[in-house]
Amino acid sequence: MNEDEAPEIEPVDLKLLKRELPPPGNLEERTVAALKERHVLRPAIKRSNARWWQAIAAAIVIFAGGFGLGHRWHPDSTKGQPTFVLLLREEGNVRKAATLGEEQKRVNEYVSWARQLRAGGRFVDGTKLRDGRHDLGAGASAGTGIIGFFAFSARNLDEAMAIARTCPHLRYGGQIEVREVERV
Amino acid sequence: VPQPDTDRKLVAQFLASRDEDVFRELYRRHTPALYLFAIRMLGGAEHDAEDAVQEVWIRAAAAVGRFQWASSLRTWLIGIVVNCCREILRDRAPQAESTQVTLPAAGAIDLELLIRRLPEGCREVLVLHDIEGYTHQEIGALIGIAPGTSKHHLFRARGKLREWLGNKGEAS
Repeated sequence: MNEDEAPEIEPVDLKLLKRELPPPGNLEERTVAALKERHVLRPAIKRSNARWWQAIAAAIVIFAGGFGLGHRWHPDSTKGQPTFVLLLREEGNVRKAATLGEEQKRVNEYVSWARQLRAGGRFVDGTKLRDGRHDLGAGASAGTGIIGFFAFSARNLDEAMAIARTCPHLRYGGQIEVREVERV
Repeated sequence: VPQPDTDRKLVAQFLASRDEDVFRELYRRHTPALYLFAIRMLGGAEHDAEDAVQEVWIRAAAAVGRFQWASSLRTWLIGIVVNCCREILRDRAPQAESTQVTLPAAGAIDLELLIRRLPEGCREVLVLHDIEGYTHQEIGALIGIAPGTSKHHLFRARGKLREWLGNKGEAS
């Protein structure tokens, strides 16, 4: 039927009908739980820590961007030095920043740490992983999530660990895993 | 009606972080409207409406990264509600269409009750057009019918309501 030709009837006045209705209180929790089961939702981060995670992302960008210009990291291009990967874990006993000033201080620390390492001539790269885990295999959901990594060259594991210990991630309760890249 | 700019910011934050708090904010902005809309679509079945709304958010969270903002977020969500409700209705045991409506005493006529008794297609269009304020063009895009069909459903829905209210509507 052509819309212009369709007949019309004066509408019943429905203005008094509600447009919204609060859903049962448990529906929100059910929905959030269902999304977490599907790994499409990250557990709530305390507001005061949100910028901390942004700082991590910023530091990774500095790592990756600083190296950039077509010289992406590759385990064979470290001029003889072993390469280490510093994995940043998502969960940990994160300590809450007491004030906005302290939050900003944390952001600055991450950025400053990344810049210093880069300025020291380290061969570095980094990537922030996209959100959302997709696990396969029995027991794959165990353990905490990894939000990103830094890769850098060091003379040996001791030096790599020494560098990792300077990362602000540890100071505020975050977790780091250091792994050496095996050359094949 | 939620501010589109705020929706855009929240969706961008959600996509960047998948943060639970951001999701909860989106949920709280839209769910009261989606929930009532689902209740109406489902003829008053509140439990089914809860299931529909939960499913809507599961689908929306998975697909919002592909949402192109050709419509408002609310309209996009309403479209998902329509699909979820249709699936629920399809799975229900077939019910005879009720044509006999016992009206409450004058002055206490429950319009919601009358809307629930409308045939499914008519009910969808009436709610979308006369309550939610969508045009026939928008309704056509939302539920996959021609605008003319939408207008026809609206004609039938209004006619039924007028009939049940004892006031045959005048063609305009």
